[in-house]
Amino acid sequence: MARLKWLMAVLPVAFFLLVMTMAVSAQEEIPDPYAGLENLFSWQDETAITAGGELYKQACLGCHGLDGSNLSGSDFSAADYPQKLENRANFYFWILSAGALERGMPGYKSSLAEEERWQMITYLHSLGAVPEEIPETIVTEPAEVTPGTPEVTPGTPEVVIEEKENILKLIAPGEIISGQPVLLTAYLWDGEEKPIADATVEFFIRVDFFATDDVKIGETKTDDEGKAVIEYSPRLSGDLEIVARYETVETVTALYAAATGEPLYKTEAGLHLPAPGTEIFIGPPSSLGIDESGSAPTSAFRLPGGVVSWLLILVGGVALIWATYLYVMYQVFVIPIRREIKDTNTRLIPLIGMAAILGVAAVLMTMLLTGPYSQFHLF
Amino acid sequence: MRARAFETRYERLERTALSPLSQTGTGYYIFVLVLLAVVGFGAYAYVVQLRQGLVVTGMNDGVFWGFYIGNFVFFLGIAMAGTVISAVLRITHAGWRTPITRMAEIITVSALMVGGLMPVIDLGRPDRVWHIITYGRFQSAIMWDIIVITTYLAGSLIYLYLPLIPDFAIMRDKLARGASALQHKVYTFLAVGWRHTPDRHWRLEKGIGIMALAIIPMAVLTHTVASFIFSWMMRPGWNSTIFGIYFVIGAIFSGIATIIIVMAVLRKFLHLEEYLTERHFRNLSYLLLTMLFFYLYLVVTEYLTVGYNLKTEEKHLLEILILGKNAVWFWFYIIGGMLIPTVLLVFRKGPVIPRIVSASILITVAMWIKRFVIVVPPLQVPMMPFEVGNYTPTWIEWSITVGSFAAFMLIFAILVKLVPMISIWEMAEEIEPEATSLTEETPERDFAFTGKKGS
Repeated sequence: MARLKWLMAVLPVAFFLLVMTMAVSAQEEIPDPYAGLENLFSWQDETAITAGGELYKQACLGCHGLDGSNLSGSDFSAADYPQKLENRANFYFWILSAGALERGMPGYKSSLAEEERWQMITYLHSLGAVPEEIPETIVTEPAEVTPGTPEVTPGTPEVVIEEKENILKLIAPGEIISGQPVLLTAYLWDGEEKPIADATVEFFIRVDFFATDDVKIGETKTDDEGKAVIEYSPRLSGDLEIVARYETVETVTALYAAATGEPLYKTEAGLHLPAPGTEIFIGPPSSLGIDESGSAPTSAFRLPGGVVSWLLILVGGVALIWATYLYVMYQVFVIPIRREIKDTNTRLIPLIGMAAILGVAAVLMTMLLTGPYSQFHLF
Repeated sequence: MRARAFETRYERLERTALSPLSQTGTGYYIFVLVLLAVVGFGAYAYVVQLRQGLVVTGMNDGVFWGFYIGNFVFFLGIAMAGTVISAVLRITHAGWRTPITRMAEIITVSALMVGGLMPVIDLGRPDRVWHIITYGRFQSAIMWDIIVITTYLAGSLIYLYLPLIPDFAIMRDKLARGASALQHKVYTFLAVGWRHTPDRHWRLEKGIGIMALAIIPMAVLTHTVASFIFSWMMRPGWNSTIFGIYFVIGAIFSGIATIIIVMAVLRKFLHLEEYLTERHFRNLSYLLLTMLFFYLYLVVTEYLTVGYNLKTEEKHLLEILILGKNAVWFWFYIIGGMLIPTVLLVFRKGPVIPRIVSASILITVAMWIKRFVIVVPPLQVPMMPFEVGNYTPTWIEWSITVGSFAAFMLIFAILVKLVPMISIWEMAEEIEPEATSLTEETPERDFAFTGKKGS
């Protein structure tokens, strides 16, 4: 009966939420494998909560924050959140499993077992119910402290006094596709779990090529929340280890990059040089791409003006040299002095020469200029 | 020949240079007839090819280029050097160039005329040359080739014609009596009313100067674009960035050798010993040797680069070049075209001119073979999983090739009778300071060029 009472109380809210979510997006209708699922654990299962907490630190903390309140859209610390979870556990389980990429939420169904995901849901339930639970320790792997005294900034003596290890946390989606960009997020706190802003965090990929070494893939500065995000497109596939490092603290996270079997670099035809405005192109657009049949690129170097630029260069070159010829022939033309021309028109030969120069130049330039228009039948 | 006790240097020059135009021996006619017969036989072979198609040649699906394209590159090479030598020597004011330039320019024009025909002969349907104009893609190297060759030929003709104008004027005035009315008329037209006045001289020199500057990049472009036709293809032995400069240096190299041969022949038959001295041969031989070393350097660089990483198809190419079916050609070119000429040019033993000329003949033959080695062996590398790489030139190709060389000589033989082979007015400018007798008789500078009527 108590359960029914609960249900009676919650039903209008649930209905309202359902209508809202359906109205917002038809996608939020819970799809088949998730519809009707229930939490494997009791909401108060301490073992599940502890296990879920550990998983939360690894997978969720980076975005959602220590207390789950980082993202206002899904604030786990909100008072009504446990209730929501209880009402539509399978909905949240679905989101956790399949992700909601349009909102930046990755799916965990391939990296976490069903049991683990339910443990995490159970842990989320505890976040709202228990006032401010902060994890005691964050799993970090402090790197070996480099020999020599650490750099001490005179202006901030507290840091030296505290001597607490900074905390660095690295978040990456568990499973990605090789060649596609992913966001790697690192969080940096000081020993008192306050975010460190404006600190440079370096990102590495651990590469095993005869010897294991970290290859730097980028670095960026943390924001006010101690968050540092880089975009990275792994070129390797399989199990990858991504390392984030700040001074002497480093943390490692695993990433599985699925190979697609496609080349990582796809190119359009030709080398596209940067240009203001759009490229002028004569001919069908299909000739700009390299499709399966591998049609030939229009030109290797796609100049800012497109085909027109090439034509101008070629026509300009031809025009320049033939204009030079014309000028030289004109010099010959003015050699005979008019009053000396008697029975023979001595200007005839240079005149023929100039006409020939103009004629041939016209043919050559027409040949060039009509070139792009003469090929439509091939496409 | 005018027998005179007293003859100035200028008069002797004029007489020597103009005598071939008015006096023709039987030997000349026989020579021209032989050339005509050879050209005629080549033309017959071409007619056979036209009627039956390219199947009568040794070319096939795999080796789609053969002698014709080799000839094309060879003649283009000769053409380049002629004008470049002339223009470079003119721009640098090399005094010894004067008797050489005319011949070099004629070599360019006749070689371009013959070489330009070669790609057309290479076509099974030459009537479709027109399609390049109507359907040509400007992205295609063949289109660029047509443009640069046309432009280069036009420039070479102008560059040949300009320094001929004062000589045409001399002929107009000197040959007035002996020649027919038509001949006189033609020379009058061609001389463009030339009188040797400073302002006309200035205009002419200006034109020549501009053309000399313009023709050098045109010559380089012509050969570079010809090399693009090869290097833009993904073939072992062709797809190389070195090809542009490789062709240009090769062209200058073979061109200088050709100039030396032409000089030697004309010197003998036109009695130009006074003007083409050992000094000219020696100077050109230094240029020749420099180009030989340049070319050797490029050859070594090219083969060492592909030989070092030895990709499968490159290995196949090097095998058929060095050991396989093209080894004879390859080694003839290395030994006959590079090593022996180096010995001949470096160790200066024996008579100068025969030594240099024999080196030049070896180089010219070897460079023709080198073009064959560039064109054919890369096509014999099987890029498809079946054997395609065989090429044996047929009698058609041999006849047309020999005919094209005969045509080159024929153009020369005809031009020998139409224009003086050394530039009279430019030579006169050189000997003028020495020839005091000239200036004593007539204070006017005009004298030498208008001629002495009635002398």
